[in-house]
Amino acid sequence: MKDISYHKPITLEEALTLKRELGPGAHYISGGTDVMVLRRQRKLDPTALISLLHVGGLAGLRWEGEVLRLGAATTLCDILADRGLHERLPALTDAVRVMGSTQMRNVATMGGNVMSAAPSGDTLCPLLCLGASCRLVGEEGERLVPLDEFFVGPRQNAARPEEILTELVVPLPGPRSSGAFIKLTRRAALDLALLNMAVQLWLSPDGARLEKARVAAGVVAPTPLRLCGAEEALTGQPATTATLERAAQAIGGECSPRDSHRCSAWYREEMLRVLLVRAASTALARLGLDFALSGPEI
Amino acid sequence: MKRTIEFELNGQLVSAEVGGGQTLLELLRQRFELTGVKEGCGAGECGACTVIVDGRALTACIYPAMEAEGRSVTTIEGLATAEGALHPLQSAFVEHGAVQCGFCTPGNVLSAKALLDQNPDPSEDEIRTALEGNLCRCTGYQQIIEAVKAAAGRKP
Ligand SMILES: Cc1cc2nc3c(=O)[nH]c(=O)nc-3n(C[C@H](O)[C@H](O)[C@H](O)COP(=O)(O)OP(=O)(O)OC[C@H]3O[C@@H](n4cnc5c(N)ncnc54)[C@H](O)[C@@H]3O)c2cc1C
Ligand code: FES
Ligand code: FES
Repeated sequence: MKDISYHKPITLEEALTLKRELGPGAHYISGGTDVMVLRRQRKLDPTALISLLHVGGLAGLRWEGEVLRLGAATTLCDILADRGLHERLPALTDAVRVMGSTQMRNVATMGGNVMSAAPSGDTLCPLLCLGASCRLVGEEGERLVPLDEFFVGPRQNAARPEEILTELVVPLPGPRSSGAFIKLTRRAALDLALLNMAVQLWLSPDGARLEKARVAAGVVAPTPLRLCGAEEALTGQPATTATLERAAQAIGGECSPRDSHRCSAWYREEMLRVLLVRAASTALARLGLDFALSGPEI
Repeated sequence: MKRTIEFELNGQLVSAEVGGGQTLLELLRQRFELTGVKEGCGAGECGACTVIVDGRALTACIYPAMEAEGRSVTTIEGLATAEGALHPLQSAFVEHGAVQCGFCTPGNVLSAKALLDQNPDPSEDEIRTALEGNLCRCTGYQQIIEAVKAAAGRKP
């Protein structure tokens, strides 16, 4: 493999200047668990790598009132090390816990997972359900893009080539809300999702009804997808098993799962309904309602 | 484009000329001849190339060598004492039949070491999670888990 240059800017300005000067062949890298594999597979052929790991202020979690600001360079293992995060945003920690392996989570970053925009990216559905936004910094300044508008195709996102993701802004769902994430795989570790799904449910003040619901699934379309039919079927309804089953049946038109060497489209479609009931039950169990958890709670 | 970096390797300060596209695996095997760092898949999926960097286990085959700069790297060669006495984890692997062909062993021992350094008294679940990224074609894993449990009780 030809040799390339490797840069370690320590400010955003420096990183953007390097990107401008080094041109289109220069590629940002954080944990490198995606970039280094693509490079080895010759699917990516950068002339230079610009590491974002040394840029000040990109790593770490900041709780600010009603939002969590999650730095792009925060590693997956940092996410799991934060107990408060599991209590407040369990759908996200459910997802991170089943990603890759210990070695991969020790280096892979949240920002890298979002920017890769893989249809199977495991943090994407929880973040979509939570209504997160991406803060991007580029040549033309800073902007906040809702994740709902960010994924535009398989491995394609709405960021301009020079833009750097600095943080994910996650509105906190509050005490009457909980969520869950389920990843369907053939083995427990080191496997990409056959299907993944996240739900976030908000109860009415008396606890009887679902005031609001967000559902998202991955590997059912070119991008991770909000399942609006299911969301509508949950909203305003009593928190019962019958409601969850109706919502599962309301999953429809927006999904276009494909046959792949991992599994068939038919299986994906069937399991989508099963996962919705399991994930929503787990979220409701976490809110103290009499529903079954889909796995052991840690 | 090559650049000279310094880092700590198995307790000693070293410097090396590193290419921007080089992996830590290539640097350790080719420049330092630490061939205990194995290359299996080369894509982060088997754990044969596991090393410890600043206390955390990672797969050297997809880790840029440039990122080792200023950090502390431990390979399997750094575990036994200068006199050749094995690390308690290495002894436990031998005693429990956790080594067969041996190709996965350096990676498994280092993943276990990173765990025990952080958490000296792990549960079986925690051991399994720490080793989930290390594939072994020979042992069936049970002996490895038993070895780590046994080593957990011993002082290095
Ligand atoms: C063994 C293995 C197992 C894996 N398992 C999973 C899994 O279970 N689930 C899953 O979803 N993924 C998985 N992945 C894919 C990948 O590891 C994850 O997507 C990871 O989160 C990427 O993070 P990173 O920091 O390593 O990204 P990098 O490789 O550093 O970067 C990924 C992409 O994002 C860009 N980028 C990174 N940071 C920024 C930033 N701040 N601003 C702008 N652009 C940026 C890079 O240019 C690149 O295009 C796996 C990969 C491996 C090797
Ligand atoms: S060789 Fe690095 S994980 Fe397989
Ligand atoms: S001992 Fe042979 S691969 Fe593990």
